[in-house]
Amino acid sequence: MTPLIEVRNLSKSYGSHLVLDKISFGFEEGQIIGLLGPNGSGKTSLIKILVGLINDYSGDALIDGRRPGPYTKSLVAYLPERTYLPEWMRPVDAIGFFADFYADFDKRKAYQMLNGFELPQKQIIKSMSKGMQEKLQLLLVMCRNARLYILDEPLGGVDPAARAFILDTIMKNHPTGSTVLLSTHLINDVERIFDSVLMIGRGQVLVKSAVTELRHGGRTVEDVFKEVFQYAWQVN
Amino acid sequence: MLGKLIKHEFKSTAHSMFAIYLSALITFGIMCLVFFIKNKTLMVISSVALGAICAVALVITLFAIIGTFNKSLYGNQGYLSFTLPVSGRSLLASKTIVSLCWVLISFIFAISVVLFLVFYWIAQTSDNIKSIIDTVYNMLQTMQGMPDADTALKSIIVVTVFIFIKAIFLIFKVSFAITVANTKSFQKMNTILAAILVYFAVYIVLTAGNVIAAFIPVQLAIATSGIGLSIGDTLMGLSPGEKIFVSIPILGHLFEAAICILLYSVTGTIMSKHVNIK
Repeated sequence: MTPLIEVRNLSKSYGSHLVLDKISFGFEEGQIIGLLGPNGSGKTSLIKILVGLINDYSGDALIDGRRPGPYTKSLVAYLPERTYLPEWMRPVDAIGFFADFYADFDKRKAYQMLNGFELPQKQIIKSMSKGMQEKLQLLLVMCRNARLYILDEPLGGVDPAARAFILDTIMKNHPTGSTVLLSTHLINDVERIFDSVLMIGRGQVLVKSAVTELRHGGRTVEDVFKEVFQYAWQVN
Repeated sequence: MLGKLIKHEFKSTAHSMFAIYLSALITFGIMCLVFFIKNKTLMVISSVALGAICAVALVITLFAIIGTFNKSLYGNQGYLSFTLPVSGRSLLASKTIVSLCWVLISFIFAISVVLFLVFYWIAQTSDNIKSIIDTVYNMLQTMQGMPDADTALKSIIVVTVFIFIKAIFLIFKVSFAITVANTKSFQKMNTILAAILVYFAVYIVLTAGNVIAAFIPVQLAIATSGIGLSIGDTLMGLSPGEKIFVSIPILGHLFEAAICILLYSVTGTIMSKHVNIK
């Protein structure tokens, strides 16, 4: 069976700083994968390569056996770590936009979720708070019936109540059989939802494992994370 | 997908353009009103205002094209644009088509405003506009070698095509410069500065090409009863001894058309393979 996500000898550097150094891994379809690593470990670079936002890398990054391009972009629902909707748009325009470009976008569900999230349909995005904009983006991504959801730090910079809300939205709305790749460094909140984890740091894949295997001996994902990334917090 | 991209590109750019054309419409309404009230001061003020709006519209159109291109592709919105299931070339094509439409709209608007102001003031100073128009028309008719109506129409079409090429050429040069400015090679430089440098580098190279093309004597000859080609002293497609009204060098335009195709292809490739969204 072809892995849905396959990375082979992938390297990416910024000037002389090597962020990803010939990493290789693969994940089959239908899992919730935690992409874990401290800040600056290359999680976002890896994600941006997979979704086609970074193009100068060496090696292969494949989704369903294909390099990032129009086909893979039709399979992937991507939530970046920043707000990216045009300021002049209103939620109703954003829904129309997604419905036009993504065949798997569920417009009816989007309007239902818009009401559920208590977001006004016709307020321009520029006048919305950051929290409202993030809610809208999450809604747009989760209203797609995509094969792969790539969510970059969806829990970063929000309070515990919002984190619970975001996780709940992701868990309730991703279709059965789809794959979710979620990057985070807030492991405690999310480790219960992961089927597999990929820990990256120092440009390498440090851990790639099913969560059930990691938990042998009563350890948690967070314990393993602390053990693996202890170096990140060591001074001299 | 291209149709959908164009639709959304129009929606997006219309927001920048709407205010300027609305203010022109309001000024136009005021001018019509004061014309009948016969208030000379207000007529002068509103004429100057309309002229200024016209100039501003041309400048804003250019800045809106540049701003929208950069912001929607290489700013935060790039996270949306470049993750759509479309190719880089489709994104570029949609932006070029919409930009071209706005450039043409702004030119048509500028020409219309100039004509309107001319007639507006003729109407103010003379009671008989028709006699003035007739006089101008008769003057044109008596000019030697003036083309007939059919040739004049064909000439207008040819000149319009040349204007299209010029506008597309400008848009592609700008898109290319902004795209190259966002590649790894320029990542340490300010993007706007890099784009300006790349634009002028391209401008110098292409101007050199145009200058060389101008030395090759291939021209479009517009005569009294047809359009032909003049290569050196040889006339093609025209009757012998036909009076030439005007000759237009065409190699420069053909050169620009060829460069447009090249810039489209190269910019599309750079967008898809060499640009990283920051």
